[in-house]
Amino acid sequence: MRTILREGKSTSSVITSFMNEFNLKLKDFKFEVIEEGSKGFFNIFGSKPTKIQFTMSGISEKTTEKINEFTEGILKGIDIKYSRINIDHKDNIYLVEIIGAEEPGFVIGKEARLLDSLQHLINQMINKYEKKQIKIRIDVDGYRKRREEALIEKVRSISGKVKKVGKSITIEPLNAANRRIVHKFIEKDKSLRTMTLGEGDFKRVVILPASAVTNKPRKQKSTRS
Amino acid sequence: MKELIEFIVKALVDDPASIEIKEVTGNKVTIYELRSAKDDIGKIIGKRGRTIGAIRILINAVSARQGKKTVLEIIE
Repeated sequence: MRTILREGKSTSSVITSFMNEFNLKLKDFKFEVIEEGSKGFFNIFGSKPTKIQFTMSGISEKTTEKINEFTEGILKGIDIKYSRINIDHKDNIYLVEIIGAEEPGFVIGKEARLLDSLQHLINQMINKYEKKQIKIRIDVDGYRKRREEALIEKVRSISGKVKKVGKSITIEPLNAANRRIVHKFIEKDKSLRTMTLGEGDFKRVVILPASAVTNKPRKQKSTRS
Repeated sequence: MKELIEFIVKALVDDPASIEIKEVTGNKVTIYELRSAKDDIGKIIGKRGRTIGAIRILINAVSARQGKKTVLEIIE
């Protein structure tokens, strides 16, 4: 734990500037108002600043700082301009978002290959530095979110077809992260099952009606990717 | 480019001090020769070469944008 003292005009402005300074969310820290500020007469005489003491767990702050350092270092190295990096975390999963990238198409790369490489490297770097296992997801201006929504939309229409026809449909080859999205989405529907076909870079997800699985037990059902 | 490779690789290994990168500039292609402590080679390469693959994708993308060709080699 680490405590930091900050002062400013009002309680809310001190908290906001503190959050911006360390890239934190409200849930990441605790605070205590040490001294309530007062405006004094006409804002001139005897005005006192508000003093707030912040307490946060050192780990997440340090990790966030380190992730920021790695991300900034690589982006500087590949000469990409952006407005800022936003780091958010839920337990051990960190979402790093590059906001206002000048050439988002370049950072993402063909089929997100550059973005995935970046993500893999920063994952390796931070996990070398940290003792506990950390997972990092990197996004550029909401790209992954948009892709995920598009993929789910596609899977939704395919699963509709599977239900209507009663036959399995195989989707195009996807990488592990995308297959996971498909599996998770289909998992919610009790009348459908998923399995994986193929090896290496050519793994495909098959969506099939639940009845087909029980009829043909020799088919290996796999929900892992 | 050399700084970028160094920045990434040094964060991955146990012994950053023994990382050595030699830049060999050719007519069309620039070769970066990477040397490290023996025990660290596996960390740089990664499972199924995933890490070195990611580094190569990164530097290839950067050099392609500058109209250059780059090769990264690990020297044992």
